Amino acid sequence: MIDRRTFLLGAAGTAVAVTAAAAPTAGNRKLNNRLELWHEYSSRTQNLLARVSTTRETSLLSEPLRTTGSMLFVSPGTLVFRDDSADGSTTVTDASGTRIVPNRDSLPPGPVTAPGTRPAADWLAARLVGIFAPIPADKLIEGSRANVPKGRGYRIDLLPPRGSAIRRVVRSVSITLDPAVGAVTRIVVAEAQGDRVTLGLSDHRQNLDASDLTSVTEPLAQLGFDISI
Amino acid sequence: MSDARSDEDAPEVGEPPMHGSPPDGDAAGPEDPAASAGPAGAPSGRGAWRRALPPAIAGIWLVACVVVAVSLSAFDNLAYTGGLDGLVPQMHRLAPGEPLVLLEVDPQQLGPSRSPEEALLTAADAIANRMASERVPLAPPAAELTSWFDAHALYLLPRDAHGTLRTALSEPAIQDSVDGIRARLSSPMFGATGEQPRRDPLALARLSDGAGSLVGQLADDGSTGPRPTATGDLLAHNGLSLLIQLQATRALPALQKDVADALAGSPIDATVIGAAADEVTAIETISTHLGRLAVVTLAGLTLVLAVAVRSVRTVIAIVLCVASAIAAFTLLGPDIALLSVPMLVLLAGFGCEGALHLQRISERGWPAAAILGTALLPLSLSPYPIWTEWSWQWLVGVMLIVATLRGVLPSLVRLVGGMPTTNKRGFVLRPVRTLAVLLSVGALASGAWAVDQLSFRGFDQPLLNDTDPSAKVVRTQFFDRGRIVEAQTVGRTAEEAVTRAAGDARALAQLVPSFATRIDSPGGFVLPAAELDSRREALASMNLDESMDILFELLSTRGFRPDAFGEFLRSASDLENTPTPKAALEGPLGPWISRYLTEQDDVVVLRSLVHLRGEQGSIPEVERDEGPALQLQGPAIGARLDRETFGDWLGIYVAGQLWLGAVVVWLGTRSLAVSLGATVSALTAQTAVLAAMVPLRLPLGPEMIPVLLLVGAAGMVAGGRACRAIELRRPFFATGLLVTGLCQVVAGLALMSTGELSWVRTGLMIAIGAVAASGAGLFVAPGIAKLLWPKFGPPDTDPQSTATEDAP
Repeated sequence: MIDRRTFLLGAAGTAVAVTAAAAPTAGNRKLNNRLELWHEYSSRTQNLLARVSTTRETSLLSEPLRTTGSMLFVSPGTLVFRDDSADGSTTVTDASGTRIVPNRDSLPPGPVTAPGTRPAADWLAARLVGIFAPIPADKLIEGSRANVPKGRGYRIDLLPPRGSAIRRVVRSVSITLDPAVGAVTRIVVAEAQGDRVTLGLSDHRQNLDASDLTSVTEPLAQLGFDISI
Repeated sequence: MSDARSDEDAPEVGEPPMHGSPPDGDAAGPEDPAASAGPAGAPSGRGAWRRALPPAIAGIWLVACVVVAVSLSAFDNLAYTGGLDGLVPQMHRLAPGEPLVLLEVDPQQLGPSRSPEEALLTAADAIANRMASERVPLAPPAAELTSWFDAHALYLLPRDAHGTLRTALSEPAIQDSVDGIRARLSSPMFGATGEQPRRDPLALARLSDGAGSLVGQLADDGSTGPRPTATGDLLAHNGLSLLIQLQATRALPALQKDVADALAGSPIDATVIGAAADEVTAIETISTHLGRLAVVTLAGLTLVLAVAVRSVRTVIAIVLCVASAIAAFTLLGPDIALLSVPMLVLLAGFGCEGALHLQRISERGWPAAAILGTALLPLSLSPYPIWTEWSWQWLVGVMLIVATLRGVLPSLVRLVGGMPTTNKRGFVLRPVRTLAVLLSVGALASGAWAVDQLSFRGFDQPLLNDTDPSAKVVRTQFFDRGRIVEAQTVGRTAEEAVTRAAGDARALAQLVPSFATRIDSPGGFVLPAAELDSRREALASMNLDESMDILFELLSTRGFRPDAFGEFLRSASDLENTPTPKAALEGPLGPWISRYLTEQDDVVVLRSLVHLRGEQGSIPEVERDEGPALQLQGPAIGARLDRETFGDWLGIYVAGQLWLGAVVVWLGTRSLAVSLGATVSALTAQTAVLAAMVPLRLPLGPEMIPVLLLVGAAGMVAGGRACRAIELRRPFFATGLLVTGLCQVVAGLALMSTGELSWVRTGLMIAIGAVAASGAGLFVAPGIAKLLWPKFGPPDTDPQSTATEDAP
């Protein structure tokens, strides 16, 4: 005959074990926390304007390329990176694809990447747009492997699916979040051939009126891009 | 509507023949022993030998059956051949394709640290090691191809682009190119858009006109097509399957064993794919279904015959005779192919009527057999090998069945004490001319309309059901083997063949993208000597060294590392390194190029492969700069050519069959009206079938031609018999007509029960056609004949002279 104390201790122990087994691991917990933090900020975004400093480390250049510019996101899926300098470029990603156009008219534009033609471009564009879009947290990591890298900072690493062709072009996209408000402060894109692009974001301004965005939209219009706010 | 009103002497519908009109089985003349199927024939006084004849005949037949049965079963003499290319004319057949090995991986079966691509590449290496002499590169190895293009980029640009090239090599243009790269480098998307500034800083690739279409299976990183591996295999875009090419003459089981041994213990699934594997599948399909099909067909015929023949023993004797005739035909004839199986079933269905007591077309009863036997003779004009064979094989089969039914069946029935096949129900046909005209015109019009509505199924379409998952993977992830055609280039040596193929590949490139998706030819990577010299001269005038110096300088001043662009800087100005056939054959691309070369009769043939688009349509001629136009070969191209003339030839085959049948009917009856009536009946039945195919979404094509001709023959026989009954003023026995049609329907239903789509289509058309032929025979032929009798007059007939005995 089992006495009551033994029974209660056993039942309590079993309950703890089951709960522990069902409980998310530490890693999952961290990821969920970060996703929740990110979502707190992104869910309110209808448009977002920020300053961006871009650094590309590449073996093509003797020194890293550093530029400054603006980043504009317009819900649901338009993302613009525009360099301040006339020697820089403007990147527009929307439903029709990705276009990279030098700010100087005389320079040749890059090829237009239509959706469905380059899986790596589609995947990277979806990550970059998704980082700022007001989408559920699980949508951000959909189509990729997500984990939390060790070290300080609120970071999320997004990696292409294992074995996919995307990994031959893009290795990872790392996001760093502001611990207080959840805004994205840094994005690092690691390319398969060794290039590394770091985008530092600051001066975030959410949900501006169209009139407040003319400093960005007017130059875009001159380049032929029609961005509706 | 045939009027069932009886005159004073004719029986009512459903009533037995009236007084003075003996059962037709009894009306057989004693001079015609073959006409009697039972003891109804008056015993002759020919003596003992006549009494001994039936047992002797039956005995001989029994011995023959035993011999056939033993040969088929004990000695396994029943040979199958897939015959998947039975419809493909010889001129459009390609050499037996080289086998492919498809490797597939399920990521869930791999460990967390192993990627599917890694597992596939490891498995491919294992196979390559084990089958080193048989494995060849399917695609140009990625690194080697990149090196080749980088080394010869300027030479491979077409002459048309040299003007733009000259502009692109000017200092302002170079400056813009370099500044443009630097500007775009700031974009986070730059690396994913496919730009490769290291290899092509001046973006010269955009000057090539569809050069990508010349690179065969190559798909650069990031695009959606398969990707060549380092060793020249093809890796699917989703990374879950890999294709290896073999050049092997060994039998399929040996190849499969070697592949399995190479992958022992691996989680990779491997399948050998190719023509040999398809043939094995076809043979397995035949052997799986043939026995059951025979049982179902014979059982169905037994049931149907029992409707007309009241004696079970007689029915069994009939079925045994038919089965033995077909068994003997199968043993003595060629190997059974996929398309032969339905023909054997149809032989049984159409041949059964020879055992029934039906109205004869002529006194001796030969026209029906002749109509049926000659039905497929027009196919001797066709380009389809299997139908050319069956044009006379069908005649032999019908003759064998008729001979057995006429020679053996009466003796068998006499021995087993069976009852004669008597028809006790009949009605007097009263032809209605208006109805006949309306039905025939309506059927003809709807048939003419249907021919334009029906989709065309060419002989390049697969005959087997598309149930093989591996074949589907190859089709969706890599390429469609059925759409590949080839163009041959001949040379005295391999170098000469590759040189000529250089021009041919550029000619073939005209087909992209309107008619083809890609051209797979090593000729696209080389230049013939004359063109080489011309381009060298043009490039030499562009001061390439100076342009590269400018580029080097600009790269340095703009913060780039010039050595990162070293390969381009060196190769662009090196005009001595030329893309000659010799350099290609002797270089790293040589093993891949050799896959396209075969030696035949002291010449070397290079095959350039063209992947056609799926849409049907004619392919324009491929004009070459010198010599005649390039000829494309392959079932896919042959089917397109066949489609253009199919309608005309179908009309010729049908007209031939109708003419032959009409001549036979006329010879048997000496009545032009009956002959024409039967002909219209046949054509009505055929066009009715065509019209019925439209709502059923059945396609029309070479596969269906024999069915149409047999439906016409059935309609002609039914019409001839109906007209003859009217001429002789005899009751027409509906039971016999129904059973005749039902035997053919049974054959069709038996084919449909197999589930094999090719056979199901044939069975469905035959079932519909049998009903249409019976209806046309009853309602169209008599009316048309009645229209024509006033002009051509019915022939003299002696009501006493002809009995309703077995025919054909």
